[in-house]
Amino acid sequence: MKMIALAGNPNAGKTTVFNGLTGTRQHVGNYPGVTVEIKKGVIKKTDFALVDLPGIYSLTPYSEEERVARNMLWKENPDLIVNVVDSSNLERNLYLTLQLMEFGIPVVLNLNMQDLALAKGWKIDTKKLSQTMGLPVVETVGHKNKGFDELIKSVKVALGASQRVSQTAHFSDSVNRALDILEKKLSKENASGASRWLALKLLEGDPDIEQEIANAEIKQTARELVNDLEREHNKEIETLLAEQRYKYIEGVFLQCVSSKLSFKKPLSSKIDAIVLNKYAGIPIFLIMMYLVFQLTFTVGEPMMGWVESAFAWLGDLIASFWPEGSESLLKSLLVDGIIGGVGGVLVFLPNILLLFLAISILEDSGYMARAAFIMDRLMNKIGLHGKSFIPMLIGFGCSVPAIMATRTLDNRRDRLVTMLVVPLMSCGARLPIYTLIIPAFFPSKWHAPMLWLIYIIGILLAIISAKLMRVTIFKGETVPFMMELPPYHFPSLKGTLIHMWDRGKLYLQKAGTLILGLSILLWALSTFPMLSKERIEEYDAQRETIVQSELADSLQAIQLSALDNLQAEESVEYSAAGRLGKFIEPVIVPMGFDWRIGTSLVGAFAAKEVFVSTLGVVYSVGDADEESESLRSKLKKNYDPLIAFCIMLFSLISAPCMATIAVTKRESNSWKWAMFQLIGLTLLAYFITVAVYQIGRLAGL
Amino acid sequence: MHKNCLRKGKKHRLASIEASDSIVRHLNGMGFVNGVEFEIISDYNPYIIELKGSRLALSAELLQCFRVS
Repeated sequence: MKMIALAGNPNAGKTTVFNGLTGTRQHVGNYPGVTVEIKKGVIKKTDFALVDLPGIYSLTPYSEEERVARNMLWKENPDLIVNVVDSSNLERNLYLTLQLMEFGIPVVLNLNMQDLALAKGWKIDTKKLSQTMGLPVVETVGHKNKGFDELIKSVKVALGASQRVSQTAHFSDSVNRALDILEKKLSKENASGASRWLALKLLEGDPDIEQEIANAEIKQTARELVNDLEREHNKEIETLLAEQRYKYIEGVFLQCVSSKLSFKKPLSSKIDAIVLNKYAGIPIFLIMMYLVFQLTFTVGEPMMGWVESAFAWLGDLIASFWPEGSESLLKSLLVDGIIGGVGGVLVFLPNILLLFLAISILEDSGYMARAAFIMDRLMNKIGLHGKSFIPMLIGFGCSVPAIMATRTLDNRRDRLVTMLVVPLMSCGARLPIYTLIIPAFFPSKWHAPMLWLIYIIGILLAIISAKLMRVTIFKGETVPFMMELPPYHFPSLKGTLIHMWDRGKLYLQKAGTLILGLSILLWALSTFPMLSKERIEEYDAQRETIVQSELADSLQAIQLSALDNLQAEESVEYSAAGRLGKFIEPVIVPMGFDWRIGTSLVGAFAAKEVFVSTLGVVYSVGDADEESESLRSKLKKNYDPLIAFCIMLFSLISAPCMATIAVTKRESNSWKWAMFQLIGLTLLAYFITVAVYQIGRLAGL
Repeated sequence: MHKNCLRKGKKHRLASIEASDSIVRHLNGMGFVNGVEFEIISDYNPYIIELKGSRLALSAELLQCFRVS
């Protein structure tokens, strides 16, 4: 199967072209770093594999995502590269095109966003461009689905004639002579056909390539050649090579692009004048954030009710297959274990989807890049980069994509610090815990401020932790802020919904797999071992006594219900889950927690939202969710507002879910940092919660 | 680049960048090459620069590495 790589600068529209060519629905964003992972697909009506690479400016990587893209081209040797270029930004984008031509793999030049170039008053002579650069050139307007058939035709033709030739004619004779010398030496050791490109990278001083070349003599020759060139031209080698590339591009641009002068101020400039204003920028940003949370919680609330009703109906339907009062284990597994567990988590899906919808609108419109820009000053004060703000914002939805988004950060120290503090941004999975507890313990006028307080505590802790890490274990300079501000786009309905669905789908998958499995496991742990036959018979005898008594029916019902609850509580206490909770109880007592909360916290490690359903199982209220009144009244009976606050505090700060730990390990490429995150956050949560509880008690709360 | 040069509406021609190799290479990739003309659009850190029709945000710290003519 032939492999084609899609490469281009950030914001050139690669993902739109990828979707157009493959017919798939990858998310398209309008800020650098949408493609943080390499995506694969098959070009429509062909058997050509298409690989969508993260946006890059150069083949000498600066950030991790650029390294991912460069290594894919270098190590996996695709048969062809489709270079997606933003036509309205042609001159700057052709810099990468030249580097791809130097790499040697055949390139098809895709002039995307032709409509924007026309709006700028530019007319690009594609025929002339193709002749001048010696490449097939195809025009597309990705978001209008125009030009993809021509692009596929061009790819087929180019593949038929593909041959690896590194093109370096745009460099001066002296540079090409140096390349000849190095290429000759390298070709004896390297059979990949990339010797000339490797020679160029050695001249440029690419550290990854220098490490790859074992032959010390070749490296010494490269150093001597660099010294000669720098002496001859009286400038540093990277500047020399960049200048020669841009000089060639300038010539191409002048030959192939005719422009009518436009005096109209672009719309993006007008919007930026307001949203990036020195004084209005931050208030506008805060309003945007407020609107995001308002949409998530206010609009989501009635939807939560619908999902809750649907699961209640399903539970009743399943239960109706058994006679009333049946003690069937299968019924208990289906209704209390599976429907109760999964339903308690899925009730939160509308809020998750709305949060992702809001984030998607911000990303697709181009505002997210501005948010990073606005936040840079503040982030700098805590030793982080403005770009760290984007993963932190995504962290309010889910820590997993947030940690993956740290790939856009250029420096490993910034990346690691951001990765480690992202779980302190209260993710969507913690919301069911807050929405269960807050209405149970605090008056309604305090609901919104309490929720706000929890989020603020998370943000403040993230800031303090980041600052502490930057002055201790991650000492060093912050990488200077440099970021392209893409033009504003009106987000397309399709693109926004795709984005929302792609992320929401992950949550659904988690509910259908991990949470389903955990619900069954937790049900088993809280059901077995069962009370002894003798003990059950004792309860039955007590029931019989109540029924035979001469008490009024209503009183009998109350006593029977109290006896049922007593038996259920004793059953859970006797079960494996109860024993586990009892085992850890001495450690959690200083936080004000008992074995029931302990058991639920163990479940929450797998996925935060499982805390609510586990608590429901432990308190034997069946299908508990954050709206469950029976669970709320039981909590209110057993705990006070201080303990309730401590539960929320511990849930906010403690170790993130298993999926987050796994993705931290993958992204940091080290168990050390994953374990640091797990243990560090749990210890931090423990000490803070103990302090709050003990001080609260001393203060008489 | 001296602070006085970083005023809104000022146009400059880049003479050289005095920074680490990796930063120079990255800036080259973004279009900052010796001889190129750019304009300061916003004079509040980070600064917004217009370069060949694109908008780029750069920190003051980075702009101080720019030598202009």
